[in-house]
Amino acid sequence: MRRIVVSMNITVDGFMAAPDGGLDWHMQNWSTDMSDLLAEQLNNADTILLGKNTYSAMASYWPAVSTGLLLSRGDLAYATMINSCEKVVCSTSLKRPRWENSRVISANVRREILKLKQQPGKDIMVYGSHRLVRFLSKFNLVDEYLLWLYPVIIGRGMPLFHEQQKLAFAGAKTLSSGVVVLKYRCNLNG
Amino acid sequence: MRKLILQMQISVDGYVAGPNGEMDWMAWEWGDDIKAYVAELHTNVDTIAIGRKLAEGFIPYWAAAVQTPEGNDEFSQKMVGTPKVIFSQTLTGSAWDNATVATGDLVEEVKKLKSAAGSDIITYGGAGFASSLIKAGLVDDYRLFINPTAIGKGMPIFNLLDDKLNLKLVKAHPFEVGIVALNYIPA
Repeated sequence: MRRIVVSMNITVDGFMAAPDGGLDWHMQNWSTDMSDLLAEQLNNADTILLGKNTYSAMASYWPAVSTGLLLSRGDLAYATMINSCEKVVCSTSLKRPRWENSRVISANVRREILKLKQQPGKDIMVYGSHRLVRFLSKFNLVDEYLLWLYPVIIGRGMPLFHEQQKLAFAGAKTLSSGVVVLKYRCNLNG
Repeated sequence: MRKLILQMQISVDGYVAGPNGEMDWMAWEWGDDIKAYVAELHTNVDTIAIGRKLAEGFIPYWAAAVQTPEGNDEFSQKMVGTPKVIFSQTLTGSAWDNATVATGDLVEEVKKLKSAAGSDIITYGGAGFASSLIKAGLVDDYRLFINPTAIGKGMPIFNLLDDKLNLKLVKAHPFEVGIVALNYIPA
């Protein structure tokens, strides 16, 4: 069974975003070693599972960027990887996904995702996609969290976790910006 | 000015206790690595500052620990021997050994304590006391022990902040038990 790996930016107080969805704390902590780690993590995957909003944001960036000359080698490697991965978008409104190697799941989402997990292949990576992550977590479909813990506290916001859940710590990496990437495994009994 | 250190156990979703103060989600099987880290953190500590609610559990716990053969170690002795300041609006005097009660305005009392002579001050909460310290910007050194558990709901310590608080990471220390100690200072 393939694993679903959720990669999420969170604050020290456990929020994915401000109450209004704001993410202004993301950019202030960008560092080039982030793209190296992103590429290293994506190397274990061949499929990316996304909600519509995150998909749209990424689809308007990465296809164009891979032809640009302004990227560092690390960013370029990541762009090539992400463009060649299969993108699976969960959406009822998106009809024609424009990014190469994309397809849409619009009904029976849980069953389709289970089917995806049972297909042969590498890990399935999830970026952002708050609502989708909540859905996956509710149905116990997340196998691993990569939590990019930003050195910021926002006081109130959208929480990542809603239920009690035991996790198994599987490693930490510190980036030059002060972001700490914490890896946790779930589904400890299965 | 003396440094105020905040050391607290926190869930991966940012809570320091369950909705009714539950602490059963914390990882207790501490190995030597985390014990050594905590001991080192206390090297320059000469005062423990805690809220009244936490004091009611904390002080008897360590007082009992030093009475048992397995609990009577150097760290327990340090917990018992270090002078404590208990912050309370309701207590009129301390019923505990080696403890004084501060009943005035919390922020003013902590500022007074920090400007008095001495070395580091450490606090372990509880949630309400820590929230007030954080809101008032009185914490100089955060030691957040991230436990490998989400609890879904509980007591936060950062919810009184009106604005975003930027931190500077000093170091992240992962331990065998699955806890990661995150050391931050205000940016």
